[in-house]
Amino acid sequence: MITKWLMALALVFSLTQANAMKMFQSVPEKQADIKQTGKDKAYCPNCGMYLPKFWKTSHAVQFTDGSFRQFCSIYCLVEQMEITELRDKKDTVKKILVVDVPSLKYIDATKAFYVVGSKKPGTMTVTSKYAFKNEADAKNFVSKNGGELTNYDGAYNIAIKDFARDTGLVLAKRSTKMYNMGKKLYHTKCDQAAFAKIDAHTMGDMKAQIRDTGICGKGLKDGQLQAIMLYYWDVRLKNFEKMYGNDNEVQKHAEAFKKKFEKMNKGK
Amino acid sequence: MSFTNFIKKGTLIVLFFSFFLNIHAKSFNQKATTKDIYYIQTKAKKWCAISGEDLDNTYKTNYIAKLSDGNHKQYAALRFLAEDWDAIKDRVVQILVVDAATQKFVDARGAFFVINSSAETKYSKYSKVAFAQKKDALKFQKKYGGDIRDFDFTLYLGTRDIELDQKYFKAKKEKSYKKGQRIFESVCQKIDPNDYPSLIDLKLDIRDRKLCGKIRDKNLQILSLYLWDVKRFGALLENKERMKVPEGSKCPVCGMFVYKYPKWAAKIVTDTHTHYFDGVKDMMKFYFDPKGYGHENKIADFKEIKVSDYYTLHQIDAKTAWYVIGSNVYGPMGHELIPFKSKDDAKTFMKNHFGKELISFEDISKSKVWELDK
Repeated sequence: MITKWLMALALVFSLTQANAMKMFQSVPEKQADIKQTGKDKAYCPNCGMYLPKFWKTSHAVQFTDGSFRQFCSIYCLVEQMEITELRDKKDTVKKILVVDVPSLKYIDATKAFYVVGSKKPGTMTVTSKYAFKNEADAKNFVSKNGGELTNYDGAYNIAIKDFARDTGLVLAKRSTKMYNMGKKLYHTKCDQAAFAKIDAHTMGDMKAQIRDTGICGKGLKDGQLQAIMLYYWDVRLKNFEKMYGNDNEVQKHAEAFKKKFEKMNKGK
Repeated sequence: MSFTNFIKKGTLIVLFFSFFLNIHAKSFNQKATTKDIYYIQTKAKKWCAISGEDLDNTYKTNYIAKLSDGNHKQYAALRFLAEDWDAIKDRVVQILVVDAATQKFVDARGAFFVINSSAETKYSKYSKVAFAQKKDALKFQKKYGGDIRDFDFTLYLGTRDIELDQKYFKAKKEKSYKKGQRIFESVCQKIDPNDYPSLIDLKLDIRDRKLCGKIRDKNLQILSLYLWDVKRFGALLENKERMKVPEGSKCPVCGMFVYKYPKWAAKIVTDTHTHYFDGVKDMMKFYFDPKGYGHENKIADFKEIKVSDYYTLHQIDAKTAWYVIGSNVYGPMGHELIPFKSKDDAKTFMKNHFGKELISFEDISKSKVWELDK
């Protein structure tokens, strides 16, 4: 339990320090194999995060029509597969892919070796999960960073088991930092009338539109774009509340994480 | 048209429609096919504790909750267990579910749930069917598709699906309410649904005291649902002295929406906030330990404490009210402290409902409150 908390704290720390410190998950843009199309192709459609920044935890779905949808993490994959868009469309999914940490290339997730619960921080979760094509690489990773070896089903089941808690973590993280940052930027930098006309289908889509239309000015950093998008999508459009406002499990976990984060901030 | 022709045409029409229905969902009969149906409830044993529906109609998806206070509840489907979950979760000792393969109850933890399959079930858009053996779940999955999940995640989805299912079945439900209203207005005596602690108590009383004359089981259910879901709130609007509860407010102790249980509403007012509770028990848990429920209040901060009189539903001062404990009347959270403005009313209630103790506000202690959940 304590290690779980420490890892959650480490995750938040790593996200708040994203600019100062290179995250383990990140790769340079040109090393990320973006297979999606469209102006928002570099973003996770499910949460808007910049895929190269979370490349080593990226998962993807290949549909039966050959097209791809790429996620920042197994968390976002699970959210779509179990709760939202893909829940009753699993027959359109041909293949699940995951990034092989050493080569940074996508491999068949169902044949991968997963390391769960290592010291390396996870993406949008308290239990980190990294995948490897070769068992030897996975074992080597365990000996350096701890964690346990499993397969895709094992990792997926942990993601399901942790889902409400991970969602609570995401909400707590957004409401203690990102929403405030987004609100400030929205009120100082954005053309609010133009903003109201944005018609976006996903969080990634909205983020790309904010970037390309320049309605919040030019030269915004990825973190700033993300904060504005989250504030507008979650808080003003109330999309998070519509999804999880009545979800007592998620709310309970979010409250617990918020308290921990506040304590941690006071301690600084 | 001759009779045989009529039958032939009818069969064709039935075939035609069943063909259409089968495109998206495959039929799966939830009805019991065994003579050996197990009922655990003592009162209204053949009815779902939450919906009042006949349990045998969807026996293959039945659930049982065994509670620490000795109560046992049986549900027609996961949706109704999920609707009741916040009220019972602190008292749950064990959850049982029917193994659809053998039609016997088994421990839900350890069972395999085939969810999101094309096997259409009666009360939920997303089907959820349980099996004791993995091989049976796999066999079912082969026929109907879907995913195999454990009980915890299935229940989590079940609680999330409540809202979705209410929308999904809304049109059907509203049609049924209209029918219920017609039955009520044509054959029933005066009935105030707010006099009853639960849908089941209401339905039983209508049947046993023949408040609507001789009435078919199906109509009794339709009528009772109308009274409980619609009329109960309409009658409340006419009660000017009731406690007004905002729609979104949740009980800080159990997380349930308080407006759904107007009969049990209680509140604590501070300078900055009004806390609403779905029963005196939860209010007192908060009163003794606000910090435990995320609020930095002290007892001195509580400017106003109000409860709802059990008989009149009037909002009354909690500190001068009388409370009955140990009766056979349950609130949404189980055993309750049942409030009355007049001591005589409380005594009458005690006699009628086998109350064990009559106490004043000062007599309510922390231990008395916690004992109610045992």
